[in-house]
Amino acid sequence: MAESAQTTVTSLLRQMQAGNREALGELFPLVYDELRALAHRHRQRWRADFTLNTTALVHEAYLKLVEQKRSEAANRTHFLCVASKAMRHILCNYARDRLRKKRGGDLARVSLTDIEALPADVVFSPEQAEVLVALDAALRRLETDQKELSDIVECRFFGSMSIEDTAAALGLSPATVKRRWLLARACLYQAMQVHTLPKA
Amino acid sequence: MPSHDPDALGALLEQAAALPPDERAAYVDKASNGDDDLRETLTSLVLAHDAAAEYFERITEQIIGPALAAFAADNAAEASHGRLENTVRPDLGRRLAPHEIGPFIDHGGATAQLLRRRLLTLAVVFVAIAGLGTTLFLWSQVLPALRDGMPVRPAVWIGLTLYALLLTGTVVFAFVLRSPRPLSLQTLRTLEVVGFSSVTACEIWRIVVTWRAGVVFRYVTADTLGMMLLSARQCLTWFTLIVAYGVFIPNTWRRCALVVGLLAATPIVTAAICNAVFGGLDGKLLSTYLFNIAMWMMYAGALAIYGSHRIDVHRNEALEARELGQYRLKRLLGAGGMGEVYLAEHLLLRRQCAIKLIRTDRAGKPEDLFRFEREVHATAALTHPNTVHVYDYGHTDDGTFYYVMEYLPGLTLEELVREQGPLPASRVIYLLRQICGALSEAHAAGLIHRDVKPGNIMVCERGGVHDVAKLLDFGIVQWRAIADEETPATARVAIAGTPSFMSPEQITGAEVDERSDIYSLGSVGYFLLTGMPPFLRAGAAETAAAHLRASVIAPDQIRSDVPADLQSVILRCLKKTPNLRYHSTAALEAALALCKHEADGSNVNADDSGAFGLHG
Repeated sequence: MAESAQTTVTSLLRQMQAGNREALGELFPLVYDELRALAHRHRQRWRADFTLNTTALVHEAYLKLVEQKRSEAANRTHFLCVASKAMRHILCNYARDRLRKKRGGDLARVSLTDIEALPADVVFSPEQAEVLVALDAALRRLETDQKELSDIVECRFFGSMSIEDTAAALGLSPATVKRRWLLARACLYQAMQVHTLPKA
Repeated sequence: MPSHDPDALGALLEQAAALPPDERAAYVDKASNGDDDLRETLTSLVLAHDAAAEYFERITEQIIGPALAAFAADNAAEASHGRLENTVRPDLGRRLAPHEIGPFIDHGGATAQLLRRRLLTLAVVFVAIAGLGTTLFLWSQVLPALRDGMPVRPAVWIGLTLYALLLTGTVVFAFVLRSPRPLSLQTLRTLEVVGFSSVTACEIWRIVVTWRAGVVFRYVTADTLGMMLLSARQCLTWFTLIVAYGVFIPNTWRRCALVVGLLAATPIVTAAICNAVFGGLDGKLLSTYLFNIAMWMMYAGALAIYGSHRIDVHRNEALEARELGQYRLKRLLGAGGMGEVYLAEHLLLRRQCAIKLIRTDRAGKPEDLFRFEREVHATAALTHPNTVHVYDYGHTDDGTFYYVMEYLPGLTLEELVREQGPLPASRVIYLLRQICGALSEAHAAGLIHRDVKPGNIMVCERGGVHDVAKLLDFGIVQWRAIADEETPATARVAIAGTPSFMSPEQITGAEVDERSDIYSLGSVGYFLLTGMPPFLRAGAAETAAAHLRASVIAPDQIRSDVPADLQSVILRCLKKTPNLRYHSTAALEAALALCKHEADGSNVNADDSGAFGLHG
């Protein structure tokens, strides 16, 4: 069973590499669910029994989802790219939930999936939540206008990917990624200027 | 955003940003070449650029990073191998609340595990008794009646169906409890209530049916003695249920009293209602009957509540004394990848020691225990002065393994460098040579450390000697990997942590031998000299990839005063191919001994820096 899931993810990654955007659509929910399940499981464990950072989490998801025998280095960067996208959605959903709760949303009807989406032990400060939601909104605008920029931002911000890895994952040259990254950052900043940061 | 080509726009922005601020406006004017729209866009972007870079750096650091970490439950930040006394840990001073302490001590975890086991026992016992009872009833009452062609009352069929359902439910219940999936205390409490309510419901139904059919009077005489016998017979099940609840379910006495009170009131209230609806007993007999039931229920309740309370008190005492075998835990020293480390004291020897608790999810499996013991035996056999001494080990019933080692007041190399920056070459050589010695002994015994990193090496003062390096966490890593084999991926990550000091062959999962430890030790040397691991990358994946492919930046590129001989030793340790490294720690030690700066000696430096051996 696990074999076939691994094979699926591996072949989807390969299709993605070959430029098939639909593969991303199929891959995304798989990675999204896996990341959430893994994080959930790790949180359930004894508090101090693990040291798992986000990159390790993604790494673990990768090990679990991708068939190792047939894995290539390129698979990994593509996987990282999908995982970045997933992380963005997970975090921004949490942040939105957080804000909803803060604004007295407790009384509002919350569906089961929403409750599940915000585990009690993931604590975002209101500031974190607000900046994340604002960033997400700005990213959405960027997504509709200039998709090629938002992809890069996702990889860099939510996947902590280097310029080189981002370039490899998106099939671009590092120089292009760097240029677009500068541009994307400046655009996002303009869009988000209203949201001031907490003092450094 | 306007519809300029992002790459062209990006290129212009890049070039403008590279210029000094006062030349940017002119560049933008020139570049936009009369296109006002472009000029306006570009100007605002250039203005935003610097602020944006800073803003997003801060966002990444303060918002996205922590958010990612919160999601991944990354407690790495606070959970370094902090055996350090004077590390500022705000929560060390106060008494830890029960839920903050480990699972062995953790009331929550311990209670959940205990409750789970108890519920399972109760379910099994119930299935056995009720199953036997039902079978006997079928065999002795229903089957003969069927054989003789006698009518069987519908109530009997309903009763049998109910019990069949209850039994099936309990079996499912037992399987859920037995399954490996984690159940929170809350879930278990819910299961507890559901289980006891189901049994209660069936018993209520039995009273109602008996009463309605007038069975009450079939067996006993309608006098006081009859009522006493009847109440005793009727209370048997309830009595058992209540006492079982009190004794088996871990509880505070208040919660126990609440549940037991409800359970005890049920037969009395049910009987009273039944009599009112179906009739049967007159006032005096009814009061005798109810009084007798109440007496029985009171006995049961008192027994249950008192029993529960006593057990709870004992459990709390045991948990709060925080004793493990011969050791009393005194203080949490630090929490790391594999467990928490406590400062402890031997009850008789009064010797201070450090106890590391290692929890596995699988409680007390014999094969786990065997492996753990084998590893601890191997480690305990190591006697090198630079290896941490393991005194003792053991395990608790709830699956917490612990081992006891010498208590080392001091800093880990990680903390040392974090506080003081890179170390002088002579001290690096001195420390590395000590670890070489520790590793040589282990390698000779066939043990590979696999997790040599600055956080696993302590520098302390022992018996008046300063700068004694001690290698920690021997062998346990390997054991841990085996214990987690059901999820190999997890285990690999658990070991990996941050791969900053992992050898290429460890990263690829290839066969690992002592040369892997040499690579890691080389990385430690690099870290001590330069203040950073050989490959500093944004994430674990990139770091791992760099270990496999990237070439190392020579230490003297980072710090000019790195002696060439030491540098070449370290770089040789860091060769990607094991064959190109030193073949043994002894060879590495010899190479280090040949380095010129070694002659300086390091005790002097160590004393000057005076950064270790401090008690908080």
